[in-house]
Amino acid sequence: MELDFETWRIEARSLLQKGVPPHLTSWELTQSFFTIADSELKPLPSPKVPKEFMELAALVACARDPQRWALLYRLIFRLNHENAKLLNVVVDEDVHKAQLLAKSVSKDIHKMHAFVRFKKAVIDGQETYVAWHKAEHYIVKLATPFFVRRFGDKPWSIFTPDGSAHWNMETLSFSEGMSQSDFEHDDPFDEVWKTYYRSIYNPARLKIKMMKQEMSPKYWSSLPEAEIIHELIRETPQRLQNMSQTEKFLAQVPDTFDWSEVKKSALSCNACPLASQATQTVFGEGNLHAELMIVGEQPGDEEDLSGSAFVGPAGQVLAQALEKAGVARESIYLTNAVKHFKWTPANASAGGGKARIHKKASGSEMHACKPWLEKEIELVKPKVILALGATAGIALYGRLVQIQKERGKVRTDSAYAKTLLISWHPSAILRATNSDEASLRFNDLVSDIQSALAATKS
Amino acid sequence: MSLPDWNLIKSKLSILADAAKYDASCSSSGSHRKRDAKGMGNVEGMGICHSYAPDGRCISLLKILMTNFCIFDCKYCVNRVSSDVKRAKFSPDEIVTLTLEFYRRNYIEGLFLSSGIIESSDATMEKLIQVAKTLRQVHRFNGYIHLKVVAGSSQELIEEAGLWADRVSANVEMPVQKDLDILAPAKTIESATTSMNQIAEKVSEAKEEQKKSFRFRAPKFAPAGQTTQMIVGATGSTDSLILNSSQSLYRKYALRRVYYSAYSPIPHSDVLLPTEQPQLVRENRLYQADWLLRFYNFEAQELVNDENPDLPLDMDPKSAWALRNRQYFPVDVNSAAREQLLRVPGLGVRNVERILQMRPHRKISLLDLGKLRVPLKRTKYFVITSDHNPDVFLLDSQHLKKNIAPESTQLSLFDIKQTAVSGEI
Ligand code: SF4
Repeated sequence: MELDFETWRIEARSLLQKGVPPHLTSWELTQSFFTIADSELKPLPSPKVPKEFMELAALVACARDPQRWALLYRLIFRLNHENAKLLNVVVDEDVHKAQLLAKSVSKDIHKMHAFVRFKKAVIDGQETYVAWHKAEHYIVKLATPFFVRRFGDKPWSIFTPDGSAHWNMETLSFSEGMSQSDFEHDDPFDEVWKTYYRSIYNPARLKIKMMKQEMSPKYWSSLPEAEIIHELIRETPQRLQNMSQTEKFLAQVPDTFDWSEVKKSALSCNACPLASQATQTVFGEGNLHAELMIVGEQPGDEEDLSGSAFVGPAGQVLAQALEKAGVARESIYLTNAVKHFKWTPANASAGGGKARIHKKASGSEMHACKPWLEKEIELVKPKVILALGATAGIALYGRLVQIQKERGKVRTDSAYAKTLLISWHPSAILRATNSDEASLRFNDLVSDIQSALAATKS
Repeated sequence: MSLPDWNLIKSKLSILADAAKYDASCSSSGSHRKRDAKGMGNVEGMGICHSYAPDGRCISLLKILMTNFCIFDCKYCVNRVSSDVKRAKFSPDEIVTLTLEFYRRNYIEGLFLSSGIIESSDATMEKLIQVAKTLRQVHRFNGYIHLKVVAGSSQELIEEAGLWADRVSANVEMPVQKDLDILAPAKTIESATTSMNQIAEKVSEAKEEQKKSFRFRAPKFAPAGQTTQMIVGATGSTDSLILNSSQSLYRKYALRRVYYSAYSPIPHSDVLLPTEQPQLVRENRLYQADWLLRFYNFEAQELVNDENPDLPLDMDPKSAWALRNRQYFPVDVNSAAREQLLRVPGLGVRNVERILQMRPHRKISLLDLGKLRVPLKRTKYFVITSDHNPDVFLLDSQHLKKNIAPESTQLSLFDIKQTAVSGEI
C-alpha cells in the first residue's frame, strides 16, 4: 500500500512538532519512522505550513517517485528551521526538485484532461460515457473533478491502471484500476473524428518531432486518431507532389507598348490547354484610344473560326444594343476575358453532328489569360469599362458578381478604370427562357451601355 | 432530430475541415463559462489542446467552414470562386450535431466556425450566428465558440455574434492594402478594421457594464476578445511592414493576438503565388518579434527599420537587437530593473520574475541562471552576475554574433518554434 497525502500530512506534523530532523526519518514504508531519543530533539510546538507549500505538496504527493515523501518532509522542516521564504529560492536543490515534480504532475493532469477519449455506451439502458487512460503519475483523484465540471449532465467512468473514477450525476467515486486489455468498448463515431484529424492536417508543414513532443507516443494507445498518424506521415510526400503538380499556366505578355506586337504574340500564345483545342486566338479590337472598353467572356464557335470578337449570334445582339444606345462600334474597344474558344463535341448519337458545344473556361484558364486583358487595358487606358457576364465580372471585380443585383451600380474604386460597370452578356439574352425576360435583359443592356457612355463624358 | 447520415457528414467534413486548415488560430483560452445545470461544457481560462496533427499544430477546436462556396476571388485562398476544388455545405444543424458529439467525447474545447461567402456577407453571417445561438440556447452548450466575422458583415450582426461567441474575429489577411489589391481585389483592409473597431468597442463596453452591475451580470460580449490573422510570404511585403501593421492593430483595437500564417501552397493555387514550402522560420521569427512587442516593451521600429527591413532568420529578434545595441550591456542581474532584464537575450518574462523574487534572498550566480534554464551560451555575454563579469572586449568584438548564434544547425526550427509558442525569448 502506498502512503497517501493525508497520512503523510499527519505524520509530518507530529514529526515536526517533535523536532525530528529529516536525515533521521525514513518514508519507505507506509509510515514514517525514526530512531533517536526524544531528549536530543528540539521540539517545535506550532510548526508553520505556508499555503504555497501545501499547494506544491499536494502535487508532489501524486508523483510517481518513491523519494517524494522524504523530499516534502525535508522542505517543510527547512521552511520552519532555515528560511520561511525558502520556496522563493527556486534554484535551491530541494525546491528545484519539488517544483520539477509538481510541474510534471500538473502537466500529466493537463494531458489527462486533453487526451481522455470518451466512448458512448449504453449500460443498463442508460447512456453512459466510458474512457480508458494511462497517466504517468497518481492523478486520478486530482484530475477527474474537471470532468464533473464539464460533463456533469451525463454519467461517465474513466478507467486507468492506477484507479478509476465514476460519476453517477451525484457523486464522484473511485475504485480499483483496470488494464487496457480489460477495457472493451467501441465507438463507431471514432471514424468521424479520424476523418476530421486527417483533413485538418496540413502536409506542407509536417513536423513530427513537434507533434510527439506535445502528444507523446506513450498516450497513443488510447487515442483513436493516433491509429492513422503513420499513414498520414507516409502519404505526405505524395500529397505534396500532387499539389505541386497541379498544372499552372500564365500567359507571357511581351514588354512593349505596341498594340500590334502584343496582338501578334497573343496569336501564338499556348500558355494553357485551350490553345490546342481552338482554331485561333481571338484578340480584342477596335479604337485603341477608346474611352469605353467592353469586356465579354470568351470567343464562341463563330469567333473561333473568324478570329474576330463578337461576330456570332451574341455579337449580333450586342451590335443591336450598341446601335440602340447610340454607340458606334468603331468608337469603342471590344475584347474578351479569355481569348480562346473552349468546347466539347456535341453528343453525335443525339443528332448533334459535328457541333462544338461552348464550355465555360475554368478558374485556372481564366487566370492564365488575364495578363492579356490587363495589357489591353494598360494600352487603351479606357475611362470606363463595361464588363459583360460573370466571367468578365470575376476578372474585373475580383469576385462573383450577381448581375441582376449589381448592374446599374457604378464602381469608381477599381484599379482598372475610373468607372467600372457590369451588365448581361448578350448570350444571357439569347438563353433567356421567355421573350419577356429576353427583352427585359436587352433593355437593361442598352441602358447600361448608355450609362457607360455617359460616364465617359463626365 | 432525425439521425444524421454519418457517411455524408464525413465526406462534407473532409472538404470543409480541409478548407479551414489554413487559418492558424486554434486558441481556446481567455474566457470563463460555467456549465449550465441542464447542459454540458465549460471554459476554464486556459485552453486545452486535445490533440496534435502531424504538422505539430494544436487541435483544440472543431475548426470548419460552414461552406467553401465563395463569391470572392482572393487568390491566396483555396476557396476562391475561380478555384477548381470540390465544394460542400453544412446546414447549421449538422454543425451543431458535430460539435456536440465531438465535445461529448472530449475531442475538442468547442467550435471555430468560419465560412466562404454565399449570397451576401450578412446572409452568411446570419447562418453562423444561428449555429452559435442554437448551441447556447437549445442545447445549453457552454464550451468555447469562436466565430469568424464574414468580411463586410453589418455592425448589427457583429454585435449579435458577440453575445453567443467567446471570441469574434476578423482577418486582415494581408499586412497592407497594396497586397490585397493584387491578391484580393474585392477586399479592403478598411472593411476588416471597421469590424475590428466595432468588436473592440463592444468588448470594452461590455466590460464596463459588468463592472457596474455587480449583482446582475450584464451579458458578456466576446469575453475572450478578438484576434486576427495575416498571411505572410504570399507577396513581397517586408517584416517591417508586417510588424508595424501589427503594432498599430494592437494599439487601436486591443487585439489579443495577431496570427501570422506563412503562406502554404494550396491545391489549385493561383499562378501569382509561390509554390515552395511555407517559410516557417520566418513565421516563427515574426511570432517571436510579436511577443517582444506585447510583453517586452519593444517598439516595432527597434526590431526592423529601413536598414533592416526583415528580421534575421539566423537568430532571434532580441539577440539581433542586442547586437545592434551593445552599449546597453552588460546588465547586472543582481541590481538591474525589470525593463532592463527583459532586454537581455535569453531572459524570458518568467525567468525575469523569478530573478526578481529571488534577489532579496540570494546573490544570483551564473550557475543559478543555468538552473533556470537560461541559455548561458548566449546570455553570458550580456550579464553581470555575482561570479561573472563578461569580457567587455568580447562584447565589442566582431565575433560576438558568431558566438551567440553558432552554426545554424543548433538553431533547429523546433527550438525556434518552442520559443515562438511560449514567448520565452
Ligand atoms: S486562353 Fe489565353 S492563356 Fe490560354 S492559350 Fe489562349 S490566349 Fe493563351
